[in-house]
Amino acid sequence: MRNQHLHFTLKRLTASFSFLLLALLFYGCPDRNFPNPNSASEETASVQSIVTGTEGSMRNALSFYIYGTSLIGRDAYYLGGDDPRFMSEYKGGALDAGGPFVNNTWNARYTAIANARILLARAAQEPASRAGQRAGLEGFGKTIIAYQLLLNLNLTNENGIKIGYSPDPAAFPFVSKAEGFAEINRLLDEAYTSLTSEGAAFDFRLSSGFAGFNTPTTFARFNRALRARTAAYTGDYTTCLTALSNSFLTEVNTAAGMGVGVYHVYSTAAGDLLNPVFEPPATATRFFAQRDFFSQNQDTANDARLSKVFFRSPAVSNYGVSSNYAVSVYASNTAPVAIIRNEELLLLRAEARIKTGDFAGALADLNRVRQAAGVADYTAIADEADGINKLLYERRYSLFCEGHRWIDMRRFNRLGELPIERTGDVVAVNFPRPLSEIP
Amino acid sequence: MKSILRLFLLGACFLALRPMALYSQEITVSGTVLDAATNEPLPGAIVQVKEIRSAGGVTNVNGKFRLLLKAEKATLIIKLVGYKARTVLVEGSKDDLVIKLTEDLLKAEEVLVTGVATGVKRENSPNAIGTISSSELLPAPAQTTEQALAGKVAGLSISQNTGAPGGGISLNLRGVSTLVGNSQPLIFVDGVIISNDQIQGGLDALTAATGVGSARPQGQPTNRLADLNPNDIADIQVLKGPSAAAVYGAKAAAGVILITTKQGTLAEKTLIEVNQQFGFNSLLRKQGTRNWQSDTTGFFSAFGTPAPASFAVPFIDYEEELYGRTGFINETSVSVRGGNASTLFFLSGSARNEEGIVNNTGYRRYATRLSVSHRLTNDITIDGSASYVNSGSDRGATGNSNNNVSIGYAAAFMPSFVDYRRRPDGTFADPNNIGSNPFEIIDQVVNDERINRVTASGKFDWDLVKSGGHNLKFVATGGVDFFSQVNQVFSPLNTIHELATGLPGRSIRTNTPSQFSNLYTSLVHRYQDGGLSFTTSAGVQFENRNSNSVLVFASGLAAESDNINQAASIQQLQTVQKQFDQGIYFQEDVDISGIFFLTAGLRMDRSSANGDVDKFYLFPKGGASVLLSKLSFWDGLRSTVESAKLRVSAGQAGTFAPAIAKFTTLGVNNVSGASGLSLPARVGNPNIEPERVTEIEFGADFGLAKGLASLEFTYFTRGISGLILESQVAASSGSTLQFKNGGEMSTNGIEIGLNLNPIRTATFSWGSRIVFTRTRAEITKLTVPAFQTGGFGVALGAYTIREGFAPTSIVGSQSFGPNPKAPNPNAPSGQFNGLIIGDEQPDFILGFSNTLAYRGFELYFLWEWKKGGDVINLTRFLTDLGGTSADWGQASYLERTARRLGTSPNNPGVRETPWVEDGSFIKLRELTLSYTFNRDQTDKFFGGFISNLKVSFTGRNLLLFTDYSGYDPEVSNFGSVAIGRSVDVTPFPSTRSYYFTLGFGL
Repeated sequence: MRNQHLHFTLKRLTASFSFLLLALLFYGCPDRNFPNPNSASEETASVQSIVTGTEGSMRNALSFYIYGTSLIGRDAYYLGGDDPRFMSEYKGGALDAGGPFVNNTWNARYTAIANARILLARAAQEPASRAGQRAGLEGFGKTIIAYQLLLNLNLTNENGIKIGYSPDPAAFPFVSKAEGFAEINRLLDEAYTSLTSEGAAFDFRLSSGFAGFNTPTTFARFNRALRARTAAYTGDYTTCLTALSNSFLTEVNTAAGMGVGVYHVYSTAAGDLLNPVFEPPATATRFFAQRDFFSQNQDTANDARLSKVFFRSPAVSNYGVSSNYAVSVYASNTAPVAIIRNEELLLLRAEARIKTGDFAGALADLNRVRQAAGVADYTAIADEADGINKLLYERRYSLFCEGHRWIDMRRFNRLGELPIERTGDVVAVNFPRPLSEIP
Repeated sequence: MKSILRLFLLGACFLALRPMALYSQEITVSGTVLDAATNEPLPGAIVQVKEIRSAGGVTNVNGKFRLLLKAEKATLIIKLVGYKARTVLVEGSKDDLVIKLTEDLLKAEEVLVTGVATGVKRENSPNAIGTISSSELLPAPAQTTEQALAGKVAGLSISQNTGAPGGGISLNLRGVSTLVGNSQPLIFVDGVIISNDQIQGGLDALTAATGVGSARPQGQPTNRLADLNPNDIADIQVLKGPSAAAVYGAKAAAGVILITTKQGTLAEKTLIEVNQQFGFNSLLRKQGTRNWQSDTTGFFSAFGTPAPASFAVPFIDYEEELYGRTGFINETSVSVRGGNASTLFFLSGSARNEEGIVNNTGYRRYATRLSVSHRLTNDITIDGSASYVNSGSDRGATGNSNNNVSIGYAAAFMPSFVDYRRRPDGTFADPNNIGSNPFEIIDQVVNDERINRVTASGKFDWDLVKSGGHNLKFVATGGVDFFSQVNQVFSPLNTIHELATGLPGRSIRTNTPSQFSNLYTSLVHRYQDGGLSFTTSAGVQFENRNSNSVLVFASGLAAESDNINQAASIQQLQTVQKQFDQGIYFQEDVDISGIFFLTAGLRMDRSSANGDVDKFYLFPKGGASVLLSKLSFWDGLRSTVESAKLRVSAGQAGTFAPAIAKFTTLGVNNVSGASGLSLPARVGNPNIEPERVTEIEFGADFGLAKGLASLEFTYFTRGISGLILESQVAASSGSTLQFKNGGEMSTNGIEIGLNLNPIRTATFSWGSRIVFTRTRAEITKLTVPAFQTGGFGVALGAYTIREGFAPTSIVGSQSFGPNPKAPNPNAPSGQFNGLIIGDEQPDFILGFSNTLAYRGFELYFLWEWKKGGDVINLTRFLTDLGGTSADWGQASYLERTARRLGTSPNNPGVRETPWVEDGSFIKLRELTLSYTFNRDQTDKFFGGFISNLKVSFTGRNLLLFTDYSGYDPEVSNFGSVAIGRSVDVTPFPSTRSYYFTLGFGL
């Protein structure tokens, strides 16, 4: 009897385990070691996708750069009710080293740099048989790194930047402004050497923003344009003139000619961005010009550059200021944003010529810009101070809300001339060092 | 394979051929079951026969039962929910047995879980396991299940993220247990792991609160526990931490909630119950707004317009206009239950429809569930249940926004004298140029969610061996939880806010199918020898989850149609979340004479979420309890203190890193149709491991004689190692964040449960219950640099994660750089100066409920008191800026402004963050006044057609007392995040609801 019971038991045990195994077979064991279901990996991404990603990521957080420089440089206001910190941080000078108004653009520039560094690493892997492609990749990557460093240095200014790249904030110290410019210039010059080397080739495509600058030879002209800008910023006007002569500067006096250059482009295509600062001017609520943009213009009847604002009545008020002029530099949601264009190059040459005593040459350059805007020529430049005044006036109207005025006024030590409209506001000189970079 | 099948078939044949024992005699047993205290007959009591499981019966309305048994003698077990079970031995036929049951006021006999397939009586449990029965769960109707849990279990805190219809509630057990991992408990319904995910519906894309697919979304989604029909729940057990839940492994650190749904009952006749509710929703509390009619200051500076000669301006109470609707609620639920000795069934259906306090918002849920339990043979029981839910919520656009497409956000900028209301011709205007009109948003913007959900569970219970003192059982439970969530956010073309965008007319569609499935198989062996019993259980566990969310964001719609085909621009986002886990567990429980109880267990887990997918992580546990009151030295005390228990338990459990943590997901940076990839802000960590939480729990439980009072006291302490951090890295590396196992945290707390039954007579009774919770947490080690998280940057208040501080610490501008008021007044610019300006963790939470019953009347109420716990009130910040704060222009406002600008005389030159407020509150969570007709009355009125009838007036969240200046200190702009909850940005305001309910049984 007892044996039989044991027999029962064993049979039932076997039966239950077979049932269990059956259940497991039904259920299966899914593979735990699956690849990232949401992304390709950095290793498998193509050079082309990283080149495009680099170009694309240069646009990230660009609105903070444009709003930041335009507000601090007193080109414009941000009147949108959505975030008052545009006005309190950029106009009030209360720049939060831990907040988005300092960090967003800083972070995005270094992300673009990291992408470009992946390209430099890929370039290093190119075999000797593809030396030309390697040179092309290096030339592109280094130029982009230099440009992105320049944008951050433009903001942090005396606070410097980082030119070493590590997740550990203690790994590399901040370098001074001068060291920052030295690094930027080194990268630009090395890139220029690569781009102009024998057999240099681009084994990748660039967007329409680089139309006319998408081969090593033509991209090198863009590289020299940037070099001219950094030379002017550091007061090295001889280098500036040399760089300009190798850049895409063209001596024209038409509006179209002023616009020749390299741009960030936008589209409604999937995964693309739209122009981040565009709003329809007639219904705009955010981006407005300061009133003196119009009142201080010396030729309101003719100056075509005044079309960069759109007259609104009644005035739009918020945060204790008001304006009748919506910024319409960027005329549509797919309008491109200039990286550097011919109008700035002509003005850079005018500046270099003023600083090197070539007033006649400078006058010609300034007048090319003025003719394109439909205003009468200057007759003469009396002296350097007069030349700089005229230069800064033209730069104000020609490069309105393109990220220049604050930097121009600062490098000519004229920040004190920028108007302060609200009690307590200050004109910031430097962005603080982002908290994430401080060990 | 073939031999396995053969074995299986053999087993099945064997079963069928089992010989039936023949008995020579039949006996008849009948009797009455009475309440020991009142001598009232007890209908519905179950009479089981220990020897013959398929026999048994149930008492009728007069408490009578009658059994015909093929045996000479039998052991009857009489059970009724809420009463202590009794065992009666009968030999030969008996008539008119009288069996009296004693009410189990202290729930000493309630069976609490000790493991995956084992249980123990409450009086022996080594853990403080919270339980909620169906009557405790729903004295007042609730929109969603989790709403009904608040204030009922010590250690369980329930807080609402938003007042929007459909919920959005965060559950938390024993305070902070992780920083970025899943902070929500693991939830089982009838053995199936169900999803309580919060899946973003795409509102962020419309409000531009943050980027689509952001790691810190702000769309305040609903959580999927909301789909569970609260009326279907029979009871809930809450395993508060690893010491109880270790055998659930690496997902159990945040606790485990085991929900059992209602099952069929043995009954003479099938019971049909019907409940009909009508109710109303209304705004719980206004935050107030400035009335310019009585104010002569600051007009000019606020709006840049000249002060009018007189202040005879209109006063429009926008809170009333926007949130003032009284929303109608209607719920019908029907349940049918019954069964015989071999098959029990339960079938329910319910429909709930409610309107929100904002026009065009509301919630509805249609749910049905079927549960069947069948005794296949004397040894095999099969349970199965399936439910289907269709729910929908229309939530409107609220919360944070960067383009003013949020009702509350826009309203913060509408002074009470400017008329934004719909004009007679049906159009809307934006007189103050805020970029939108909230009335138009209510009228035109759609933010809807639709759920179709099927949950099916099964349980197979087989007694393999019953001989001598041995009992071997095979138990398999498992099932599937599948739902499809469809969200639609739509903002039509010709609206003020759309015309201000580059591509007016936006439609966002999100479709998220989600599937969870699990299978647990266990062998449970029990050996009993005298008073000694050993229960050994072991098993394997499979848990899979897979969801695939596809979001399409269309902008530039050609017409006022929400179809995304006709859009000028399409963006998309696909998010796949997969996780496959496998575990093995072993557990041993030892019961010595019902006095000592010992338990030890081990779970081993491996998972696809870990860096090393093949590595098993071990999670042990152990516990012991001694029932002092059963020892001889207690003899003298027993007449006053009936039960006394000391208990201790310890265990480990884990928290997985988010499934995305080990991967670097490249960012998309397409340009003009060319695909571009870019390093993301957050890079993955291929070596990520689960967090490990070690918990030790001590407790003492006492019960006075006659159930007069009971006290449950628990102290726990936790150490969390390998804390997963989204640690900040230097942005110059190209990324800003990386997941790391980089810290340690300790948490401790006390939990007290006090039950009082001071009065208990046949006509009047009074019961009272207090649950008290206090937890503290501190980061004890941080291997990454201290960092800030949550909120919107330091200037507006953020959470700081640094060694020596609570992870819920809030810092502001004044916490960095030089500040004479800080612990380190001379901190260099940008450096932390030691000043903490708030802490989200409350000092304590206390739930206080009372039940008073007199004849058929019952009054019940539950208060919840949260003391302390700070909230970053950015709604206040916005109304300050918009000039609409209730105290605008007054001293308190001027002080806030001065602090913000660094011009306060109290601390000149230091910019401060003045919006951190104390979030203490006292809420009347539930109130019920009901009358149950007695049988005589119902018979008289309905002639026996209706077996019971109950009417009640109930309310939920009826009263709120707080000094907090916003709508409700229970708020979370970022949803159910582990850290950074208490941020208030123009949420959907909280509501109160009241109901009239009619319930009857057929």
